[in-house]
Amino acid sequence: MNGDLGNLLTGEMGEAEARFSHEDFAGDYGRRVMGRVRRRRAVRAAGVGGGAMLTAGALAIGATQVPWGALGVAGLSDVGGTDCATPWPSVGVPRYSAIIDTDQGSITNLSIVDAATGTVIVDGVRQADGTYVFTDGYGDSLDAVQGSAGHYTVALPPGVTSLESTSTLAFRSAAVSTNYLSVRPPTLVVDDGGAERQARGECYTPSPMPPGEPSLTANRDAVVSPFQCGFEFPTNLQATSELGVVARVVSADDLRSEFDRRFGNQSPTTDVGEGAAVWASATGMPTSTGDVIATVSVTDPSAGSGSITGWSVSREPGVYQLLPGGLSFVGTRDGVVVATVVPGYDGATPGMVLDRDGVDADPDAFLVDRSALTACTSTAGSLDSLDLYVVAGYDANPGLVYAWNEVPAP
Amino acid sequence: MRGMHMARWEPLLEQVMRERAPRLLAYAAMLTGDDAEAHDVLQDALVRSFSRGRRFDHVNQAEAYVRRAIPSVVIDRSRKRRPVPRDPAEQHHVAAQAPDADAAMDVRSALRGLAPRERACIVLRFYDDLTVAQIAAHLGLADGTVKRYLSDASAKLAGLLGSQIDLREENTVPVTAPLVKGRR
Repeated sequence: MNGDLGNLLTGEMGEAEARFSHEDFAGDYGRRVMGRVRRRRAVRAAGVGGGAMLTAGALAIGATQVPWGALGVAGLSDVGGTDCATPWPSVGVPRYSAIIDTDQGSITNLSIVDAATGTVIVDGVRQADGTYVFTDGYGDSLDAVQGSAGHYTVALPPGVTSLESTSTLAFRSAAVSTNYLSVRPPTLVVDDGGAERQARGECYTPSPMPPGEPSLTANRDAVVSPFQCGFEFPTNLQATSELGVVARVVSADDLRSEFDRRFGNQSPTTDVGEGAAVWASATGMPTSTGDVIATVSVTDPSAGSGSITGWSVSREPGVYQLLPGGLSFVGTRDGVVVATVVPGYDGATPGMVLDRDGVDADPDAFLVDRSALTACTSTAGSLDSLDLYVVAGYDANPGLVYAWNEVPAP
Repeated sequence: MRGMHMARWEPLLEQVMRERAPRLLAYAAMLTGDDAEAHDVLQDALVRSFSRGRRFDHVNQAEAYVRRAIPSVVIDRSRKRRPVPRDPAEQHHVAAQAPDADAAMDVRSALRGLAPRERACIVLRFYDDLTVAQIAAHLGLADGTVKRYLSDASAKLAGLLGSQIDLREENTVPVTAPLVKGRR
């Protein structure tokens, strides 16, 4: 050890150890840590862990992120006449539950999370006998009743009521079934002591936000991912030796040529208009080995608690891989994210195309149309007026790595 | 007896948290300069270490693995966090009181005056006795970057603690730390 400083640090270490020796870390944090480990191990056991690969003929992971935002954004004054539930019941303390369809192929793992923070609300893991066990964010069991149609009604933990002020819940699932790349979202049930109201994902829209939602500014300190609404970019560019991202504006003609070269007669369905598009590429994103082509998802890697959050289908039949990271665009105003790309139920992102041009090639993202962006709030303003950033990230396991770059003006 | 077979991770995780937490928290606190954050860091390190399917044969092995994960967790957390400009008055306060106080008592304050990566490099170099190359591999940084962090941090610490920091070693960059505080 090096002289004085080594001795000083050893002394500090001893003093700190004495300082912590009276604490009951296991008692204070043990349950939480155990729960987090259980969830991550369960996800990995289900085959959606980092780097896990499905072999030919097996099923791609189906992961879908459904905006549950704006709970009750539809008018709810009419009892029984609405499809949406309100988070602001007028009487009683609301009890939330979710009706989850599990009879959709072989869903191995599903969860409902607070998309803004990544907090897990409900975790469901398929057991060997085909039944499901549901736990809360700490790994504690939740009451769940299985219906005759194969669905479960899961009582959400009491703390879920705190989600009334947040913007978005997301539903994810991992399936091992070729038949179901699109997984139906759960139905949210609110029972406030009066009429019980239900809402399915389709009726939720992420914008506008419900009244009373904390401002993005108020939440900004808690936003740590450039994929998330409210993130404030401290710099125009962040790149490391591990991950970098570049972006350039291309003409519609150049984009068509590139799509023709890559996809031929299976060119993406996204219409290429006459306006300029953005072509972004990430460098350093993990690639797979073997005869697997992987793409990336648009999903924030931090939202998956270390699990994989997207799905891909290779251009080579029967070859699939789980995805290690995300590559996406965000719209900003004054350097703050006010619009993001939210994939549809089937993972599709109209207006945006993701691709790797071959095995182990760097992933590319093409923003064809700004309609790919979804405003975080009703006050985000016109999408056309926003500045754009391309953002990338992956779970380096351990640790999340992010990079971003401001898209130059056309 | 719990953990007799050591095949299941739960008893071992529980044992690490019950028996080794003070030492791990102390290490995390030294790397973060913040006792409260040390608790968060240790939780993340435990989760990472036990979520990866690795089998530990003994609590010592598990503790070592968790301990090794802590610097990476600290760096990752600092990456995700927006840098908060340090209050200049706070730095002056630290610097002003350092020469007259006992060095061992001041080291925590001095560490707080470093940036997260500087602090990590200093702890790994001078407490864990790692070489520059080992630190670089551990933190996922380039050798030159580690040398720069060590150089900058050593200069700051020398100023704050008034002690000469010996970086003369094959794998470290020579540093001429300002010896303005008198103590050698």
